[in-house]
Amino acid sequence: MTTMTSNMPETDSRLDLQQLMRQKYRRRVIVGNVILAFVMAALVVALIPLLSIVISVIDRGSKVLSTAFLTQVQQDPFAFDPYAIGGIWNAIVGSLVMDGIAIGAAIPLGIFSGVILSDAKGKIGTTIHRIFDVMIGLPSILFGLFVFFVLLGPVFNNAYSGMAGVIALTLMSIPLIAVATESAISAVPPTLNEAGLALGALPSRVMWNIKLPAARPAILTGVLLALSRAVGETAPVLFVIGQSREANWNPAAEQSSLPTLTFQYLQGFFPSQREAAWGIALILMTVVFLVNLTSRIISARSQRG
Amino acid sequence: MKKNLRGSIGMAVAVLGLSASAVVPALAATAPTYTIDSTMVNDLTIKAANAPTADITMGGSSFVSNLLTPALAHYKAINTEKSVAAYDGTQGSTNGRKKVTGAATPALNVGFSDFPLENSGSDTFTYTVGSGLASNFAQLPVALGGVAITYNVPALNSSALQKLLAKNPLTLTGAQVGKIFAQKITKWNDASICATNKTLTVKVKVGNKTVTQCALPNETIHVVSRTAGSGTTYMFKDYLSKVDATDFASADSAVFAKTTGIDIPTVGNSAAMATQIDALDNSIGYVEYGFAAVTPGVNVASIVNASGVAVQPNATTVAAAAAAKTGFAMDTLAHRSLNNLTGKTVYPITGYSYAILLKEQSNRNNGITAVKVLDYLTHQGGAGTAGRPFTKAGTFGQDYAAVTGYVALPKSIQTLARNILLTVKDSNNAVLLNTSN
Amino acid sequence: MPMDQSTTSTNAAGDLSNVSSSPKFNLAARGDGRYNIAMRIGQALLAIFIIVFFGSIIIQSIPGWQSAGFGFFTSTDWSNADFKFGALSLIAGTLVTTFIALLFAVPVGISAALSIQFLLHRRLRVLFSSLVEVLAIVPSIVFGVWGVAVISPWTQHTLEPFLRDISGGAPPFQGEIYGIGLLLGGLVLGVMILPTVVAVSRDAFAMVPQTLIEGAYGLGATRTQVLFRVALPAARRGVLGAVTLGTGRALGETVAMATILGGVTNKFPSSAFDLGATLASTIARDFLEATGSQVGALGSLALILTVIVFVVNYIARKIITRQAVTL
Repeated sequence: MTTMTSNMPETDSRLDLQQLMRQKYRRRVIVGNVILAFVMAALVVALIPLLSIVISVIDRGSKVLSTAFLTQVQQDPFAFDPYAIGGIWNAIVGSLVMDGIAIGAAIPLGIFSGVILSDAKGKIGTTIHRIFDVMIGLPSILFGLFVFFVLLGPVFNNAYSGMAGVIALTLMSIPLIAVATESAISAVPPTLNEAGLALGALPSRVMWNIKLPAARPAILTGVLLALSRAVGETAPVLFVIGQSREANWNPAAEQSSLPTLTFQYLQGFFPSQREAAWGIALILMTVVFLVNLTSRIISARSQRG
Repeated sequence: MKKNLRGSIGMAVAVLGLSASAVVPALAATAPTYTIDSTMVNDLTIKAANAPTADITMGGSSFVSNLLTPALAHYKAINTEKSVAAYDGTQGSTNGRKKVTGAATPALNVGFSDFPLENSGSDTFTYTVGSGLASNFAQLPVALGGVAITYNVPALNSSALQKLLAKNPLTLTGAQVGKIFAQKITKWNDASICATNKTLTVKVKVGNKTVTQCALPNETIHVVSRTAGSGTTYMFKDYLSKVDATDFASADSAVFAKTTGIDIPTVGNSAAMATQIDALDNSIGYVEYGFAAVTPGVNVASIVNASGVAVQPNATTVAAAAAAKTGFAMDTLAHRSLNNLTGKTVYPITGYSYAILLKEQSNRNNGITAVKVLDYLTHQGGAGTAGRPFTKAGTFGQDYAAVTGYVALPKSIQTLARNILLTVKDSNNAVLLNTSN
Repeated sequence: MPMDQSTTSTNAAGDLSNVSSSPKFNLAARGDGRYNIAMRIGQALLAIFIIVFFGSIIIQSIPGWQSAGFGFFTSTDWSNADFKFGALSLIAGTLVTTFIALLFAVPVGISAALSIQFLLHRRLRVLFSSLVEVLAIVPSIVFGVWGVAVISPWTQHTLEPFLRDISGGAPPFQGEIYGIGLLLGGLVLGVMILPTVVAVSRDAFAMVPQTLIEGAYGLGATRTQVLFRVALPAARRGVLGAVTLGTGRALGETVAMATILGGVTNKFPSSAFDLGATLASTIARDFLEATGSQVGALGSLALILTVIVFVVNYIARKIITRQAVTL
């Protein structure tokens, strides 16, 4: 808070003093309002590029949407039939399979890691915790490179495989879920823990029956965030899954995914492919938006409750 | 006396005989003859016993993707046994070459590259059989395409000028193209460009008078390049080395280096090039001819060919370039190059794309499939070239060329391709391309 | 997610590790021995995961150092195809674009988060924060193409000439105008990290105790003073965490930057209008065609990128800790 400067002459009457104080107050308010205007303007500025992109995506993307687009697999058009691009069913299946397995694996692994992080003390424990914090912000391409260098040769025999993409996405999601779990656990009121211990429960019981259930909404938020990140990322899977045109429910086969197909199509040879890319982007954004909204509502509800 | 004559005649015969035994095989070595099975023209199928255990893989250059993808899909539909996997055009020409080399089981059965293996630069290999590249790898042309020069000059977008351009497209000579891409010509209204485009004028008020002047603006030319390793760049630079040898010494796929203060952005493929040209005022770049053929709104410049005629790239002019080539052979760049040939209707920036495979196929079934598929790809069946030929029996790979933005290989090249495929053998030295396989 | 973590050695509630050293309570520790063992094993597993992951980055980068030596850092000549490996221009490009992105995203993002949390009606908060987060789910390639197709005409015709005119051609605003380049890359990157900064900052502001804010109003503070002298300082750890996350994302963006920057890898940028490249975008671009020592060089780029991310995190954490101590 601003302090009043005490440079008032001793001989001022009380009326002058009040006038001075009112002036200073008014100036504070005016300056404050100007700054407030800028702050609200920032919100508008933040929304302008959003509007631009969303309008572009909806405008161009809605033109290509149709049931056929969603249910047929990808085809390659010819010069005399340049709109015969088929649909994106193969990418939908690929995304479903890979993201589903990746999150399915990342949830238990991530929660377990989060429990370990919350228990980790001492130099090594703190270092591991800090490194995990950094790994959340690590560029996603590094996970793709890791799978490519370390696993693609020995494990996958240098063949494209959806499982390679799954591993990259899982590794990318684990730190996110782990750190979310850990902060959720440490945010549990200590009274709950102490009550459990006072009743004679072992620390593992306290963890399993008290801390984790209390932390559940926050963990769920973390999981949904990790899911939306995994669904939308291109870089981790780009080098390792190939470009399958068939809808493979077998995750070990070559796959396509919604973001990689968008990437492919946006630089596609035919204009119809480049237009279709906006349609895929629209679908992708809608799905992830709904996931995010759900997580927001859940966390808002849990805060109230 | 009789003895001496008999002796000399005998000597002469012996000498003749000896020299003949040396000369005749030598003659035979320079003109190999192949027994071409005339029934092979209609052979699309692989006998069940010779089918590979898994689809063979073909990959490499993206330049040929649009031809190979439908052609291979049709081939696979005919052979319900395993034959060939979908073409993987994401690997690029470099991987297309590298993944075919090496031991008996290469990572790719057949690699596709916009320029063939050379024993230099990043392509140096040690060989297992014989010596020299030609003993170990069969390299053959599979697709014929061209490079279109594309530009974006906003000053030319007025409707009046667009009408003029529709009749007389923007024209550049080979030397001008070279100087532009070497950044020696830096302004669009350079005197030489205006001179080549005399009809492109606007009326401008100077003081009180109305003057007719060159419509091209006084703006810096922004050159856009492809990223390193592009086969389109290679084909283009080969052309530039012929028309502007001082600035371009040889063909390579490196990016265009800047020589002035103007940076040259790089883009990944033709679609990215088109987007970039569209967004950057006064820019010039190059795309595959097939891309320009299927994309509306791409401005393509006419190039003055070696006979002095300004031509646009299209199926006729590209085919004319292939037809104008005499003495095509795979051994040197000069023998392979289709650039800057003479002929009134020849488009000067044209070239082939190549397929590469090992000459000794250790896996016999893979080898049979590979040569049969390549034979299919490099030929026209002649059955139904108009409309949709794909469902007709007897449709071969090159029948797809015209409808996918390429030009069919000339007949002589189709025969050459088959001749090269006939040199591919298995480990027992048996020729694999055979109707009985 | 707030980035607070205890860096002191006080135990969290419920932690018995100190207790177990006292003989009276050995029973509790012994009784849950399995849990403790599981935790020890778990820590070991996490440690192994970390070592393998970062170890592989280091190992893959070795061929790059071997072929280029120290010139890797000092040379600006990067051309993967020609086996030239000078990464200086890439490092500069990475830092410049990230800096421009932060210049845009930090003031706009923090202010937007303040608006959403404190100036909007409670019911509108979910809507507006979800709206801003829609930006987070736009695929990066869409940002790339949007940047080139929609925004670069604006930067080419309006923004960059304007900046050149008002600065009279002074150093950051000089040279040829292409529309695309480092400035456009930085702006698009700023838009890309904006939702991260806004979302995490907003979470941090939401956790400022209501009593603190009401107390400030009670003492007669104006709204602005409450925002900038009460809420922002109280939430600064979370806000700094937001900025760090955003920076990490900016440093590692591959696909959008590969499209927007023009891919010029062999000059040190002298102007915001210049074309350039970043570490991450170069890895993405050169990867598919790289073989042998080229792959090692890209591995070296990955290592440099990882080191930069760690350094940024370290600096951020030091700032947080220092603030905590002086408080």
